[in-house]
Amino acid sequence: MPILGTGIQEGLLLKPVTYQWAMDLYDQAVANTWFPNEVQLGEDLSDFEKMSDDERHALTHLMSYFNPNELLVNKALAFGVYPYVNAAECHLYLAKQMWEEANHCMSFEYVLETFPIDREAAYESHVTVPSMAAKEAFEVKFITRMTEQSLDITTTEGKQDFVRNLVAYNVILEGIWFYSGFMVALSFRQRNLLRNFGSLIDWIVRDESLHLKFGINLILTVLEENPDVATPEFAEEIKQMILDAVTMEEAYNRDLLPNGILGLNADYINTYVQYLADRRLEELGFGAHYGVANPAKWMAAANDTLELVNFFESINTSYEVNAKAGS
Amino acid sequence: MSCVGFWTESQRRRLRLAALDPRPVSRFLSPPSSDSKQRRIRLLSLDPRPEIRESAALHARDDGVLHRLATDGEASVRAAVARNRYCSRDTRELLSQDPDEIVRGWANWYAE
Repeated sequence: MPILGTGIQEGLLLKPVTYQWAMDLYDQAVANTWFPNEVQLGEDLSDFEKMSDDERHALTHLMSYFNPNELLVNKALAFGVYPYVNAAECHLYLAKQMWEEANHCMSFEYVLETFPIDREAAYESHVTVPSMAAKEAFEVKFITRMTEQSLDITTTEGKQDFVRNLVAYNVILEGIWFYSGFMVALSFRQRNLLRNFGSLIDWIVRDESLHLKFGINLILTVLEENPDVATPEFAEEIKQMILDAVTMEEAYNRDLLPNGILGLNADYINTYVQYLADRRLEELGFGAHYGVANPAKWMAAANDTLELVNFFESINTSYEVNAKAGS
Repeated sequence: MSCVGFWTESQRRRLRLAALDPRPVSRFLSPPSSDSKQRRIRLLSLDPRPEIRESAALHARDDGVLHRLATDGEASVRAAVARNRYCSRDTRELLSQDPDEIVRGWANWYAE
């Protein structure tokens, strides 16, 4: 049974599992289960009060971006991914992912309730900051298509649209733009500020690293099962989408940190964005485009993206271990 | 259908109205970290898969569990222990001597 389909008549039997990587990711996602108020954010309030205007601006800007976008990812999963996937094991994972997106949204809500952040001022930046409006326009373009159009998943064009949507939401939004924000969020902790907030972000990053693994595996599986999809023109279009997304993120980071904070400036973050884009390009089978080193080595420990390279290999290994443990 | 975005006048009006209501959207009633969660984490910390042990290391509060995971064969698991703010001084000192640079980096950074 191929991974794409209507999922109406198929996808109701879990066994036999066709895509073991999805089951393994489900197990990992369940192991990660947490709730926002396991973290005592109130303990960070004194840090928040000590922060400079620029630091508060960065945090406010981040919250105003993350909070609605977690909900937006759920819309993309519900309208653009779930209906077109056939495998029950993928549906299990997607259901857990959707709960995680809701949990992240409530985590950011917990931040907004705990810290004295002016929501109206925060969301106003969606209107007044052109770089944020540009990123949202990109997301709206894809989510509008997902919510208003049904894909004919039996055609090459329909499959290509499915992959485009995944690249827009999974690879670009979750795999590049979110990570750029996570780096800024975690940089507060690097300076001994907002340690509890840092733990919350750490847990979110761990969830997001699995979302990324799932999305990349889904794309690679679709491409493997449908050799008609990856034409040279389509490959070029996908690569250009990622490069355009980097340009948008670079402008956004210049607005996020106009003066630099916490040992960070826009150039530093943007080098990290280019490094991330290179990893995403490689994971999709392209070569690196920017060829930059990771300027934030400490982020390599805060996420799991480097493991993706040997992902299939590691699944096989864990299987052997499990089989032995169970014998 | 304008289903997303925060630039519509209607959404901005709703946001202004919401600002007048001081009640949070949730009472956030789940417990900070329940005993049952910590029991589950103890089991996860024994899983043969390093990815699962990493999760246990990131969420554990019990220093017995964290200390055991601090000697795990996988550097990624030890790094997750070092990032856990509930890690004790003894465990962190052990990790500050770790052969892996990233593990040492996290252990030393938190020790500062």
